[in-house]
Amino acid sequence: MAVLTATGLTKRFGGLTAVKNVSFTARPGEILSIIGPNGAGKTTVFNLLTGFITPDAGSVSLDDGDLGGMSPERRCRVGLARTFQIVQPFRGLSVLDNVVMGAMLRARSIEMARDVARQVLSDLDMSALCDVSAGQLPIGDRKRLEMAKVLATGPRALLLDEVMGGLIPIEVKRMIGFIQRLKERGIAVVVIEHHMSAVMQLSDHILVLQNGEPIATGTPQEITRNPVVLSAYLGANFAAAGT
Amino acid sequence: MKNSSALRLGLPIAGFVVLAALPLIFSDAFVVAAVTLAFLGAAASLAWNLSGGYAGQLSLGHAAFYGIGAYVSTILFLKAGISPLIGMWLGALLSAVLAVLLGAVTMRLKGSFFVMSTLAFGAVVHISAINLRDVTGGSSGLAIPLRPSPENLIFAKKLVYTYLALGLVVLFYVITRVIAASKVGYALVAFRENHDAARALGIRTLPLRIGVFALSAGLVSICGTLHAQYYLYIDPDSVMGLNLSLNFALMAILGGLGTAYGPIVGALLVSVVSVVMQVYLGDQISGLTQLAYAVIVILVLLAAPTGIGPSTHAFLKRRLAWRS
Repeated sequence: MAVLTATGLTKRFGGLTAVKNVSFTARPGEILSIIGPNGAGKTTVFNLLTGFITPDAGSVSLDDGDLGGMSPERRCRVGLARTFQIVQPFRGLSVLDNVVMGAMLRARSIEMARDVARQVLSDLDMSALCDVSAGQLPIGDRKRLEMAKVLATGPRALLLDEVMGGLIPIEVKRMIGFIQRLKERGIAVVVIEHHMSAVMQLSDHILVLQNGEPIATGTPQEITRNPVVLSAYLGANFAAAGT
Repeated sequence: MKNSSALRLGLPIAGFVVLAALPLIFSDAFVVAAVTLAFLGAAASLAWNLSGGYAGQLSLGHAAFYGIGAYVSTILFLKAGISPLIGMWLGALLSAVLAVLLGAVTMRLKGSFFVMSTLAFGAVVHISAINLRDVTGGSSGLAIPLRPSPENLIFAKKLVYTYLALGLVVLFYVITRVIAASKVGYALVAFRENHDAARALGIRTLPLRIGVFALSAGLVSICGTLHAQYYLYIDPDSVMGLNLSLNFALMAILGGLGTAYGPIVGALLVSVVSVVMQVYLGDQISGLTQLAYAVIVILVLLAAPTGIGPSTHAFLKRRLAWRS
C-alpha cells in the first residue's frame, strides 16, 4: 500500500522552473530522503505537497485520495503534516501549549489535547520543558518542538524539512533515533536533509534533485556509487570553494 | 497546581467583589458616574478584546457596533414602543450580521490592511447615522423620555446602571475565560501568533475568526444599548465616534491584550486618569487634559509594553524566582 504519492510535480516561478517533473512514492514505515544542493527545489517540493503553493502540473495523493486543490489545513486533517525548515514556533506560548495546538486536531477537548501533547513531549524527551516559553528555546530544542507539534497532529505521512540543521552531534544522534521510531510506527516519512551521514543511516530510498529536476533515485548504496550524483555534488563543492 | 487553580478562580471573584464595593465606598455622584462609565468601557473593551486581543484582529471600527446597539434599541423604543430589553438583542443581531459580512470580505487582509478596513467601516456607519436624519435624528440625536420602569430599562436611581454595567463586565469576563480555555480560543491564538504554522497544524481559522468577530460585535452592541439607556440621549458622535473605538482598543492594550482581566484593568486606569485630569486640569488651558492623558498612556506603554497586567505578572514572577 502506497501512502504518499507525487506524480510529475512541476512549478515555475516566472522564467525559473523551480521543480520539474518530480515523482516519488513514500510508503508506510519507510523513509525517503530528498537531497540535493542548495536551491535544488527541495523545500518547494514540500510546499507543493502540503498545498502552501499550487503546482503548475502534477498531482499529490495520499492513500489513493487526490489532494489536489486542498488547503494546507485540510491536508493536515487527512494526515499529511510537515515541519518548517525555518522553525515556526508560537513564540509567546509555552512549549506545552505549542504542542496542544497540534494535538487539538484530533482531540475533542483542550484537556484531551493536553494529555496527547504531554505524551508526545515525553516521547521526545521534552517533558522538562513543558512550561518554558517557546521563544526562549535554543535551536536544538526548537527543532524538536517543531517535530512535537506535527507529531501531535497524528500524521500518516510526515515531511521533515532539515530537522537536523544547526544541531550538535549528540542532538543529531538523538533526532535520528526519533525518526527511526516514526518509521516503526508505520508513518511514511519524507526527509529533506543536508546531514549526509544521517541521510545514509536513515533512508530506505533517496531522491536526488538538481536545479529542480530528479537526477537519481535508489537506495543509499546505489546513490553513493552513482556517477551523476557524485559529479553534481562535487561540482557544487568546487563552485562553493571558488567563492 | 491546586494552589494556582484556586487562585485562578479566587482572584477574579475577589476582584469583582472589590469592583462591586466601589460605588458604595465612594457614594459621591460624580465618582459613581465615573465608575459606571469605567464598567461600561470595561465591558465594551472585553468584547473588543475577544477579536482584537485573542485573534489579534485589531479593529478600529467597533464604535459602529456600539452605535448600532444604541440606535437600534432607541429607535425601536421611540417609534414602535419595543422594550430595549428586546431591542438590545435585535441591535446585537444586526451588529453580528454586519460583522460577518464585513469579516467575510476583509479577513483575508493582513495586519494593517485589516485595521484600515475596520476604520473605514466605522466611518461609513458614523456618517450614515449623521445623514439618515429621518431615522436617526441626524446630528441633533435622539432623546429618550424618562419613564422609569425595568421593562423600559430606565431607572431613576443611577446606581442601578452601575450594577447593570458591572453585570456585563462579569458576564463578558466569563465568556472570555470560557472561550480562551476552549479549542476555539487556542485556534485564535495560533492564528495570531503564526498563521502559517497554524495552517500546517490543520487549524482552520477563517470561520472561527469571523465567528468571534461577530460575537465581539454583538456584545459591544449590547453595551451601546446600555449607554443609551443610561444617558437617555444619543447622537452619532457620542456613540459612534472614532475616539470610542480607540478607547476600546486602548483599554485592552493598556491592561493586557489577549488576557481576560486586561480590559478591566485598562478601563479602570483610563477612567481614574481621566477623572483626575478633569478635576485638576479641567479648568486650565483647554486641551491640556488630552495632552496629559496621552503622555500617561505613552509612559505606561514604555514601562509595560505588554500591558499592565502581564508586565506586573512577569515582574512578580522574576522577583519570586529570584528570592527562592
